[in-house]
Amino acid sequence: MSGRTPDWVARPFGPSELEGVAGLGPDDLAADAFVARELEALAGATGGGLSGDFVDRVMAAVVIEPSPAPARLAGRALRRGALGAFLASIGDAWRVTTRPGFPRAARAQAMALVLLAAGLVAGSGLAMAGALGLFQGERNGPSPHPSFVAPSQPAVAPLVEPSSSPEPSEPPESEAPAATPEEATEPTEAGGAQPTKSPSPHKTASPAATGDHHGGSGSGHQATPAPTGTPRPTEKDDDHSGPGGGGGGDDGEDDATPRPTETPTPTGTDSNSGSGSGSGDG
Amino acid sequence: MLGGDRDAFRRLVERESRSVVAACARILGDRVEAEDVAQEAFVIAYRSLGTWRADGPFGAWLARIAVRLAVRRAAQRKQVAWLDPLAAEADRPSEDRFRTGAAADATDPALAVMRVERDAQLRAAVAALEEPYREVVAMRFFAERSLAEIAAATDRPLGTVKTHLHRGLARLRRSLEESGR
Repeated sequence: MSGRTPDWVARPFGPSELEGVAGLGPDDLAADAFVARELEALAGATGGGLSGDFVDRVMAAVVIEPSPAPARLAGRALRRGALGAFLASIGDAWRVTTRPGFPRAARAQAMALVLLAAGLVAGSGLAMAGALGLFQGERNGPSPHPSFVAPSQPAVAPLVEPSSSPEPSEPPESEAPAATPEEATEPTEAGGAQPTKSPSPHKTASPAATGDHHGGSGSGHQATPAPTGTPRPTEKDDDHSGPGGGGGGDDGEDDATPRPTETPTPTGTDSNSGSGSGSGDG
Repeated sequence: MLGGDRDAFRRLVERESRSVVAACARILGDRVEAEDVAQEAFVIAYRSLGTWRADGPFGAWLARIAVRLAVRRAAQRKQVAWLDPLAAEADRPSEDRFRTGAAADATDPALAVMRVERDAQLRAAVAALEEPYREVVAMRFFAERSLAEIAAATDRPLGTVKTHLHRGLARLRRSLEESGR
């Protein structure tokens, strides 16, 4: 090994550079200096020649690269109000995020910018979709069941529909209020039918039954339907006495009315009394 | 420039390109391949501008990227290219040739061959070093950065960088002694 002169090197090595290293003796420093001279000779033999278009080639390769700090450019573009520059920085951020060869820190910043932009776009899109969904929900909600919602409960329908419009599970909810008015209409019909049937037949039947009991005693009841409308017992007693079916009438009237027995006493009925008297003692 | 100003970056490329290409050429031993690696280093540096902390010289940060790429490229090809000393001297400016005194070696083919062989051995020995010794040695002697700049670029204490340099040089010496036997 032979040392070479390092006088052409920009930074010649000196033992003073290794001051402070523990355990270094003069022999170690001399050995290090010897190897350093060899390295400096190698560096001096390989000079710094450069082709003329090297800078242009480097810049041609750099131009197609995305911006190294898209987040910084995006902030600057927003401050200037340059929409084109902002969109370009978003594109750079996307390329930095997806393309290999970028450091993690730059990729993380670019990804944060991409996520922020995607969040803004998604949020605005959801807002627009929500607004359109509200309009469509108001259109589609009442249209399938217009007759049910409108007449029965107009105040309930708008409260249910806004929440149900974005979700597909709402149509059954919209049908639920539509079904309630149908049920409400049915009981009204049933209630209207019942009062018409109930009053007339039962009331008419009850006085007829009472007349039957009396009619069994005498045939004259069937010929006179008029007393059915009048529950008065006095008129019935007069009728029974009138036809003259006294024996039958008296048997049937033992429990009911004792007064009819008194009514024959007026003797207004001469036919009855004359028959009795003439047959006996005359 | 950190925001991606390409005009500012072009000025930076014009200022640093010579030293970056030189560092790559010293590691690879091939100027064309060194320019390819240097171009890749500039593109990677442009991509990574947002991560530069600006706590040290930009040239040292750029040199670290270039050295890493060149060492990786040298490891991939598994062979060390031989420099043509005559072509190297032809590319070098006349004042450099005067300063280096390499013109005398170029006139003697035997000396030139010996020097090329020696440079190849030295380059292979540096490439065979372990990290972080290889990085410190390459940045100090091939990229010609001071130890303070290396400490700032690698985010290591200056004393640690000195220790790494001493251990790297010691291992290089042992490796050269073994290969010279």
